Amino acid sequence: MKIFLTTLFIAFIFNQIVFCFDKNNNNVKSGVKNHYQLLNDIRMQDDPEFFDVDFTPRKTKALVLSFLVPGSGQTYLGDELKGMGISLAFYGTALSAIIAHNNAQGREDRIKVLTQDYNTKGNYNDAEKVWQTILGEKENRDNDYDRRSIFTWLAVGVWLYNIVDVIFLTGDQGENEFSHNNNSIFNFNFMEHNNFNGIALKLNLP
Amino acid sequence: MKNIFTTILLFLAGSFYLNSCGKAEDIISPTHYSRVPRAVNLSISYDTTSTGKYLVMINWAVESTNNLKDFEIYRSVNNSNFFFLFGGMTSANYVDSSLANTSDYSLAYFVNGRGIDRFVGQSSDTIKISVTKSF
Repeated sequence: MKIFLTTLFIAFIFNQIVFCFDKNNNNVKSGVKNHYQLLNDIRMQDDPEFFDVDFTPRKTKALVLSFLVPGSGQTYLGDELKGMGISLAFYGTALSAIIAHNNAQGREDRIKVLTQDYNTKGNYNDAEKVWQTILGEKENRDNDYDRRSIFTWLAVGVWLYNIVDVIFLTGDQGENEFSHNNNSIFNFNFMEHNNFNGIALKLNLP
Repeated sequence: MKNIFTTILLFLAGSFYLNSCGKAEDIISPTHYSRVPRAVNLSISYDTTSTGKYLVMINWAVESTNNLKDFEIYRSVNNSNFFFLFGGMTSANYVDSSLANTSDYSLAYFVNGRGIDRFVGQSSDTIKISVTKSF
């Protein structure tokens, strides 16, 4: 997991360096250009690049929201499904990590109680039984700690992806709840109208 | 962009810190395996007494006498359950002369070492013998 995250991080830095290098090269090469090259330059300016982020107020607000609650920024920008998925993934992995941690702590306490019991045993057979139970609990506890580590790093990965996604990969689909759902026949959404909040249904008749 | 990467790095550092909380504690080392020496190399033989009883002789050895107070011996007759036969022997042998020489028996024995701290150690291997009455 650590290797994956490190690779992801290095890949982003590498990408950024390559993009900067390309941009510099383009500037250096630009001497006298014919009209095809000029037209191409104009077209290139219109194509947004991966790191060309326009931090509009909505985008900035989405970033803040995603920073605090993963997935909420995507939902705010209009991509509800993606937002829901990221939220579920983050809270699912985080909750699993917390449960694994809790289980590990419980087993830690049980090992302490078993150790006290072990120390009071007066013969080999009873001591051996308690010792085998301690070993079993230790194995379960170590597995719980491993699970905690895995789910913690998964949660970190989801959070990082959430930040990258809300900055670079999720476009703003506008304030109107139905602005991006024009193709389907039946639409369903939550809406605010005047001072009322409610469920809105939309039928797109052919 | 710089602020974003700083935030991400801070988040990663926080995660490293949180993940290092509650590390697994080491468990104790087991003491019961070597607390009292175990009786090994059991040997058994039998004879009959002039008073009409079996004389079953059991010998064993121990690798050390650390924390060793005495021994106790258990017996099974004709594949029944093992019962406590005798305790408090300080030497590594025992003579069982409690069975009358009137029928055949299938006998089995094992020995436990008992520590100065009253801990009863690991049982020895079981040793078996069949005794037959003399005509």
